[in-house]
Parts: sequence; structure tokens; C-alpha cells
Amino acid sequence: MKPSIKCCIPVLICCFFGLAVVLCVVYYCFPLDFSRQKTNPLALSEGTEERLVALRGKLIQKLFPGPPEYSSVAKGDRADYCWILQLDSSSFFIAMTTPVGAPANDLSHIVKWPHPNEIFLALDEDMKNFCFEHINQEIVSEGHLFHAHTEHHYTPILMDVKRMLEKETHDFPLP
Amino acid sequence: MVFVKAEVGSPNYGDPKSKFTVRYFDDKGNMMIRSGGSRAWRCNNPGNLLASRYSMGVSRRSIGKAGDGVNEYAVYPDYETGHEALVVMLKGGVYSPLTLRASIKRYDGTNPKYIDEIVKITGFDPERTIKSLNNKEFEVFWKAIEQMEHWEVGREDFIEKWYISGVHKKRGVITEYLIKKSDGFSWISKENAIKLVIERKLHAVVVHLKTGNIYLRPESGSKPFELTS
Repeated sequence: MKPSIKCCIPVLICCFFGLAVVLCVVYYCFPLDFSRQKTNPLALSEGTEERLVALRGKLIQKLFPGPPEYSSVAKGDRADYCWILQLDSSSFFIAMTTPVGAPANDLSHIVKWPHPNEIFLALDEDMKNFCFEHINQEIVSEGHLFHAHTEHHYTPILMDVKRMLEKETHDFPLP
Repeated sequence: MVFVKAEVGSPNYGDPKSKFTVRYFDDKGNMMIRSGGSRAWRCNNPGNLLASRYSMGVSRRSIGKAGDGVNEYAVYPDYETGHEALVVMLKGGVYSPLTLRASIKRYDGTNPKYIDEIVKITGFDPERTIKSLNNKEFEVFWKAIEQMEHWEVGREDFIEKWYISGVHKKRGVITEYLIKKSDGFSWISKENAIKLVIERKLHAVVVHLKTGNIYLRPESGSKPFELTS
């Protein structure tokens, strides 16, 4: 004997309302408050020292319009020539996943930037000669990573560089 | 005026995108628009901090963000709150152990003269750490940063948000609204009232019917419009 569709309808309605009641009970007993989720996988736990990382990529120089309006050098903004490391894929992965002291946002925020695989190199004055000698070459840069947090930061991830080496002469573990 | 919300406004005519305006709202919906001046002033953000988990966190008390589509900045209700965000950052675990030179290298790695200017203004040894500065010295340090970040006052326009205190009806349909302003009352047509609501200058909600008709209703929690004879 085939059960008629008409017989199934009340059963389905009962199931639907039953499920709705269960969901309501779960919702009110265990409220999901996403605002309370404070753990950020990109955040370095308090008291932990920043990690020294070595990243590999192509060293390039880029021009950005600087203060006061950050829009056009031709219209009078300061010309900010910046040293940028275009990371290879494995280094980019490390840069994206290394916890930092004051993480800016989450990964989705980082990848929204134009060219997220490019990191700004914050250099000491004595490192600039190396940069000019190795422009458009593959190099290895070692330092502490941090995320963009002021208007002077033109890439989502930046590196406070401690030393730079040619790709072949590095003596530290690479990705 | 205590502001509770802020958002980006379009730049003034002829200005580039980067010269965005900032709209501040108080709890009554009154609006203040800041244009011109420096970005730090427009956003009440003397440290020019980008909008981020750090600068927009609950304890930082930012009220919104504004930007030019490339970068977005935290907006604070007043200078003091924006200044506090900068101070807390400099005193935090990342910056405080750094020397003045290293901290500026992180703050603005694009400008090699920044630290020289800071040293010139403060007279401090750039190899001292931030945490070694006493309160007075620390004040001199953050003041130097704020000076470098440039705080220039521009133009402020206040736009009061009016209330509807009465309506005129013709054959059961509202035709005019009585507007309560700070300097008195005035009657305006329904069309003009709708225009004002769209421009956020009047407390009401525009309702679009499927028939194509448009009418205004009181904001949620407000009293119904009163018929004025």
C-alpha cells in the first residue's frame, strides 16, 4: 500500500515545527556571540618575542605618492620611493601566517590589498646600497614582520629588516 | 556635541578622492561635515592610524572609518580619543621596547628624515627606548610625532536634523509637514520633506509602496505624526 502524499504533509509539518523549536532552544541556550571571539590566529601571544623570519623574493623599487594627500606625485605629493620584496609563493605563505605583535585584521583583509604578495622593507640607511646593487634580483631578507597600521604603510605586510643577502649566500633556513 | 558615528563623505567638487570629507553624527542625527585641512584633522586621528583591528577595537572607541578607497582610516569622536589611540599604541608591547629610531622605522619607513626631525624637535638620543622615557619626555615624543603627522584645521559645516511635529492632510492624504527647527517652525511640501529625509536632514523614514507611491513614516520608536488643524 502506497502512503499518499496527503498523509505525509502533516508529518512533514510536524517535523518542520519540531526542528524549528529545537533550533530556537539551541539558539537561546547557546547564543553564538561572534563579537566575543577575541582569539586571532595572526596575533602573537602576549610576552612572546616577535619571530625572526627569512623571506625570499624579487627586490624591486616602487614609487608611491606620499604626504600630504597620498594621491598624485604630479599634483604635489611627496615621492616615496620604497623598496619592496615580491615574495615567492612559499615565502608569501609564511608572511601571511606569521603571528605579529599587533595584527591589523584577518587574512581576508590582507588579500584585499592590491598586490598582497609584496611586502614593504623598512630598512636602515646602510642597507640601501645593497638594494641598489640587487635591484630586480632574487634576494633573501631577514627581519620581523608587522602589519600595516599607519598611513605611511603601502603594503599590508611589512618587514623590519635586520639583514639582507643574495639568494645564493644565505646561511639561514629558508621556506 | 558628542559624536557617536562617522562615515566617509564624497570629496568637495574638484577635489581628488583622497581629499574625502568625513561626516560625524551625534545621537540625535545632527551631522557635522569636515572638509579641507589635513586627513589627521578630518578623522580626529592625530597619529594617522589606518582602520584596523587595533585602531578600531572597542577599547579604542573609534566611531567609524573613512578613506579614499585605497586606504581607510580610523575616525575618532574627538582629538583626545584619537590621541589616546596613538599613545596606547606607542606604550604597547610592540613599540615600547623599541628605540626611538627603530620605532620610527616602523611608524614611517618611507621617510628617512623622520627620525632626524624627531631628534631635532625633542633633543633625545635616538637610541633610547620608548619605555625609558619618563612621562614628560614621552609627552615631548608624542607631540613631535603629531607635529610630523600634520594637524591642519579645515572647514566644519553643521547640519541640524529636524523633526516633523505636525502634518496637514487633504482627503486623508498628507500634503504638508510642519518642521521643527532650532529657530522655529515652518511648513514644507511632501516632496521637499522626502528630499530632506533622503539627505538625512529630517527625522523620518521614506517608504516606497509597490504602487510607486512614496510616503514618510516616523522613525522606529518615535511617536506618530500629529494632524495639525
